[in-house]
Amino acid sequence: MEQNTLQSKKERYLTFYLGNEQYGIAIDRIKEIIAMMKVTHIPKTPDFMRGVINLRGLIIPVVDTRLRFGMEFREPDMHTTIVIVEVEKINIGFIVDRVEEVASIDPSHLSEPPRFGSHIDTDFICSMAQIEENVVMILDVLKLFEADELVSIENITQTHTSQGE
Amino acid sequence: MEFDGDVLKIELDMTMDDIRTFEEFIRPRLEYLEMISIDETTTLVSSALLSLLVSLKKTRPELQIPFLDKKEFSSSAFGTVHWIAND
Amino acid sequence: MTKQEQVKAIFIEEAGEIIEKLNVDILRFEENSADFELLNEIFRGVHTLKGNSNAFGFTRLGEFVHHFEDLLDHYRTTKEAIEPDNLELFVGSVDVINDVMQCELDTVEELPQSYTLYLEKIIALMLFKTNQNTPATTPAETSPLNDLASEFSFDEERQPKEAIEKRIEEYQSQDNNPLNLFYIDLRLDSDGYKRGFDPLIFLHILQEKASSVESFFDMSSVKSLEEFSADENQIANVLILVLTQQNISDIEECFEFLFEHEYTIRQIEKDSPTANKTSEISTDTAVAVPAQTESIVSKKIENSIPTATLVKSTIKIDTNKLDELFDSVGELVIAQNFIAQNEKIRAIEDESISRAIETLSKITKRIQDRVMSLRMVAIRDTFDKMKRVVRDTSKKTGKPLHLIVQGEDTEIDKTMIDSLSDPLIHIIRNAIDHGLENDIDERIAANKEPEGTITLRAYHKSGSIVVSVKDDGRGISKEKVFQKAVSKGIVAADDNLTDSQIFSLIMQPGFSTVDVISDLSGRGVGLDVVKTSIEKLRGKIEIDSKIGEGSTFSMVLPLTLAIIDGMLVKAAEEIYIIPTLSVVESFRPNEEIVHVLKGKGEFVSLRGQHIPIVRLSDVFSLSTQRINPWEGILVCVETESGRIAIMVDELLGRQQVVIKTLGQSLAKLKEISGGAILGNGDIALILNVEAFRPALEG
Repeated sequence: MEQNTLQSKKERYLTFYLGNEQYGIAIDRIKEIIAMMKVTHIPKTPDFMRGVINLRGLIIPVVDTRLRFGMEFREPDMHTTIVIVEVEKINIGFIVDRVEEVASIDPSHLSEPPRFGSHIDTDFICSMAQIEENVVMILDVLKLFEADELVSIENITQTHTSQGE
Repeated sequence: MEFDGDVLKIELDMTMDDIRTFEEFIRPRLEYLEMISIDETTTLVSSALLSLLVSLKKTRPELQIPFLDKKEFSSSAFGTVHWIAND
Repeated sequence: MTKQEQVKAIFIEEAGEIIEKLNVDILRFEENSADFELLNEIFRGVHTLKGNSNAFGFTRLGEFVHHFEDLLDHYRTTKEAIEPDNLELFVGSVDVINDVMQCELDTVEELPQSYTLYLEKIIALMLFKTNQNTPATTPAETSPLNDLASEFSFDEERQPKEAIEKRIEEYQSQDNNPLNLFYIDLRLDSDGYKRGFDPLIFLHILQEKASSVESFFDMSSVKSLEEFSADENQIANVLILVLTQQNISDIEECFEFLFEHEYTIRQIEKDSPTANKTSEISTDTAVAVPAQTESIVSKKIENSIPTATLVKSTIKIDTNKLDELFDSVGELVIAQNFIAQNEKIRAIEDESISRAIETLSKITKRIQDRVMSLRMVAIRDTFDKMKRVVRDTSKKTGKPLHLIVQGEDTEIDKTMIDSLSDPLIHIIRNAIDHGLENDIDERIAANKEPEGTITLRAYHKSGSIVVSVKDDGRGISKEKVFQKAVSKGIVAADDNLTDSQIFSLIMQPGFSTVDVISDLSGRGVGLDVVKTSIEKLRGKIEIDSKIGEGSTFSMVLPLTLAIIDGMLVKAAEEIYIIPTLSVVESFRPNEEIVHVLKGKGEFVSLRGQHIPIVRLSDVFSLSTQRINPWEGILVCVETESGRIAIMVDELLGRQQVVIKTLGQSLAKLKEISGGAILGNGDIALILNVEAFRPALEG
C-alpha cells in the first residue's frame, strides 16, 4: 500500500465490494482497516447502525454499509471487513463485504455519477471511475458522515464532558 | 594563565576543556606551587573550576588561594555566590 | 531448582513485595510525615528486608538497609518531627533500595552512584542526630530554619545558615515587599556536567529573572586531588535564595530538565500559615467564628506543619496528556481484568502464574490509584472562596452567622472543581437568605443562638464525595411543598413520596415562582439550574430538612468524572450498566406485590409505594421471551421524578468502569450515557436512568 506514496494522495482510493459492485473511498480519510469483530448492538437506532466496537479501548460506532445503501443483510464471512473512516477526529466504522485494493486513479478518468440505475442512493456517490474492466463508484465520505451524524445534529441532548473522546 | 614558578595566575573564565587542561597542568606541579592568584576581572564560567580549587586546597592546605578564602564572589551573571568548605 | 534456589526465589519475591509496599508507604508518608504509625510500618519493612538480604548474601543491600533502619529507628523512637529535606532523603533511600535490589538480582557489579551518596548522607545524618540528642535538645524547638542548617553536614560552619536565616527574616519582616522569595536546594547528580548542567547555569538563568540571587555552594564533599575529576560534579549541593517578581511555576521552569530528586523549590511564606487561615473571616465582626471551629482549623494546621511550608517540586503537565495517560490506564485496567478473568488462564492452576497475575492486578490497581490522584485536588480553595460568599451574603442580608468549615482536605476531581463553585454559591446564598430566620428575635423565640450557623462540609461517603451546606434556620415544610407541587400539577395528590422526594420537588423548574408560600420565599429559585449542573457532573442533590431545625443540601458527586461504580445487569443476553449512585435496591419481587393497573402498566408495591416497573427489554425493543416480573430482577432506581423499578433478567455484579462516550452520532440516545469496556473486551452500555421514567399519565 505504501509503494505509491509518490502519487498524490488525492488520487488514491481504497476499493471494496458490496455485493457485485465496486466502491472506492479516498484513502486519506481512512484510518484503518480491521477484520470483522464483535459488535455491540445499540438499541433504538436504525438497522444500518450495527452498534459499537471496541477498537483498542476506543468505542467506535459501526455502520452496515449494505443496509445503509438499502441492500440486503448478509451474514459476515471471512472477507467481511470494517473500514474505519476518520473525519474531524470522529471515527466511524463501515462494514463492507470485501476490501479489494488501493487503486490510483487519475483525476481525468473520473466522471459524473449516473443519476439512476445504481442500487444505492446516488447522493453518496461523488464520481465514477473505470479501473480495467470495472466501474468503481467513488463515495463521498463527508456525505456519508453527515448522514450518520444527523442523529446528533437533530438534537444534542447529551452533554459531553471535556474528557470525552 | 601566567606561571612564574611560585605563583600561578589564572583567569576564572575557563571552560570545561580549559579546566581539564589546567587540571593536567597543575597535578604534577602542585608540590612547588605557593599561591594561585585569580584575575578577578574575569568571571566564572564553570563551577568545576571552583571544585578544582577547593580540591587543590584540600590536597595541599599550605597552598594559598586568596580568592577561595574570600568565600564569596559577586557577578552580574550569577548574583552573589558563597561557598563553604570544611577546613 | 535446588532447595537453596527455591528459598532464594521466595526471598526475592518477598523482598519484591516489601519494596513494593515501601514505595507506597514512603509516598504516603511524604504526604503526611506526622503519621508515625506509617513510619513504624516502613521501619518493619526495612527491618525484614535487612534480615533477608544478609541471609542471602546481598550484602550491599544489607549494608544500606542496615543504616537506613537505624535512621528510621531514631525517628520512630524519638518521634522527632522529620525535616522536609530529610524526608526527601527517606524517599530517595527507598529509590536506592529499589535500584540496589535490581543490581543484586542482575548481579551487576557496579552500584548506582546514588548508593554511596545516600549511604553517606544517612550515616552523616545519623551521626548528627546521635550527637545532637545527647543533651536536652528537643525537637520542639526546631525553628523552621534548623532544617536549612542541617543540610550542611558540618555543624560548626554556621555561615550559610545564618546568612539564609537572616535573608529570610528580613524578607518576612517586610510586609509590603511585593516580591516572592524562593529557596532552592540544588543537588545535581555527579554526572551533572556531562549532562550539560552546572549550578552556575541555573544561577545565570535565575539572575535574569530575579532582582537578587544569592547562592551557597557546599564544597565540603569535593575530594582531594587523588580522587578529583573535573568532569565529575562533586559539589554536594547549592542553596539558592531568589528574590523575584516571578511565581513558583516560572522558577520551576528553570529546572524542568533536571531529575526530580536534583532540586527542591519552596516559596518562603511571608506570614505564618496560621495567621493567613483565620484572618479572612474572624476579623469581620459580622461573622464570628466560634471557638469550636477555630480549634478544628488550628488542629489541621498543626498536623500539616511539616509539609505546609514545603512547596514540593512540581511539573506542569498538559491536561490533555493527563487525559491520555488516564485513558491508557483505563485500558491497562481492562487488559488486566481480561487476564485475571480469563478462564483459560485460570484453568492453568499454576501457583506462580496466579501469583504473577495477582501481582499484576495489585500493580495495576496502584497505578490506577496514582493516576487518579493526579487529577485530584483538595477542595480547600473552593471552600476559601465560599468563605467570602458567606461573609458577603451575611453582610448583605444583615444576618450575623457562624461559619463552620469541615473537610477542606477532601480531594475532588480537578475538572469537577470548576463546575462546583456556582452551584455551591447558589446553595450557600439560599441557605443564608432563605434558610436562616429573618430576624434575631425569631431565633431567640425558637430557643436558638442569635447568630445562625452555616456548616460547609466535604466528605467521602461510600465511593462518592459529598459536599453539603447546612443551615440551622427554619427548615422546609414538607406539607407545604407537597401541597404546592400538587397545585402545580407536578405530582398527584395521591402520590406516595418519600421525604427526600418531596424536598427534591423544590428543585423542579418553575416550582418556586412569585406566588410561593411566604416562608418558602424564593427557596427554589434557580435550584433547577443548580440541579442541572450537578447532574452534568453525574451527581445528585439530596435535601434533608426538619421544620424549625434547619436544612441540609448535599451534593453527592462521583469520585471522578471518568470512572463510575456500576451495577452490571443482563437483559436479552446483553450486558448493561446501571450507575450504582442511583440504585436504591435490587430484588426479585414476590408475585403478590406486582400489580397491573389498567392502562398504566405494571407496578410493584414496596413499603406502601407503587413503583412503576420499566422493562429494559421494552425500552430497548429487545427481542426476548417475555417473562413475569417475579421471574426477573427489579433494580429500583431513584430518578428526579421518583423511583422506578427497571426490570432485567439477571444481576451480574458491581464493578468500577471507565466511562467512554459512544461518539457524537449516538449522543442523541437519551437512555444511554456512554459505554464501558468490560474485562473480556466487550462493550457494555451505561444506562441513563433519568430517561427511563414512563411518561406520567393523567
